[in-house]
Amino acid sequence: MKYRNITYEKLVEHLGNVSPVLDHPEELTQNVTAEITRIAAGRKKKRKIIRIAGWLSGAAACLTLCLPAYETAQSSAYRHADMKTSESVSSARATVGIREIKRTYDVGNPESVKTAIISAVRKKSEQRNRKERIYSVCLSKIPGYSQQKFIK
Amino acid sequence: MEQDKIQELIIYSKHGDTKTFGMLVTEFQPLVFRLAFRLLCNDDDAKDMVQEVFVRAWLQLDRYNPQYRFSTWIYKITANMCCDRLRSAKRARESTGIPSALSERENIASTENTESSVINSELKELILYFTDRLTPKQKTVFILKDVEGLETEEIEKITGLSAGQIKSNLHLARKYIRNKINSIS
Repeated sequence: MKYRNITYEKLVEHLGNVSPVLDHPEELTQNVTAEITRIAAGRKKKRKIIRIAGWLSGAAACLTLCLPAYETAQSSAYRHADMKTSESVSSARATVGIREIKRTYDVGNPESVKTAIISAVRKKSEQRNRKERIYSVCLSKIPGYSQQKFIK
Repeated sequence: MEQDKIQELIIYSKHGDTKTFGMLVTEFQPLVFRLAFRLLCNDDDAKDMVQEVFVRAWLQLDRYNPQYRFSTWIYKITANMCCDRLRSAKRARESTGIPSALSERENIASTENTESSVINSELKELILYFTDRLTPKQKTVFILKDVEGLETEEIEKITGLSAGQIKSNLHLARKYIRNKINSIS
């Protein structure tokens, strides 16, 4: 037998002393390094994609959160502005009316206000009558038109 | 290489420096190949294992604890991966009855360098002859303790077994080998 004179101690000693020989260790190192470089490049690319995806999702989340808030804020601002405008318009109208009356008549006296209103109404009706008269004269000159028809 | 230098290289490698990691590969490659060869008993499988071990080490470098020596960590990865390979080979052999890929290539490889191939084939034959029927755990403990000459404490870290388990596995391995020697003589 090949291992006839061997003992446990001899076997262990032999196995410990004789190491297996690695051919072309530098080639193996190169292979390992190349594999690692490939993995590292893949990881870098993956990390870049993840970073971009993160940025995009962050931006989308911001938009999702900000748009409703912006809309709410803007609609309330519009409502506020509308209210303010209507208030200012009505107050401006009122102011103009009062100012006009104040300018034309003596406001301090209630009798003069009453007189002013009456005279204003009278003035308007006079104007209307004058217009009607002019129209009736003009229409009487058109053949086939009667004053009665016009008045109706 | 000194421990401080190794730790420095590891820090650089953790930051993605492949060249620095290449230096670590050059330094620890013989150690990994030696253990892989003694466990797998195949030249090409041992070379494949070297590659796989260092790729895994690179991927898991963040998990490395600087409290332990880098060689212990590399030993641990190698031993675990070789044990897995031995288990799967054994399972394949048992289920199909066909010799696994581990032993298929043994006569094909290594025609280039005759001297090294002779040494390797003799070593392979010797290990296979005496440790063929050992379980992967028993074989690993026997190789680490009696052949590589590591302390029980370090073997505990490498294999994750307790001191008692190491002792019993080693006892069974030694008993089997002694019986085999006795049967020859």
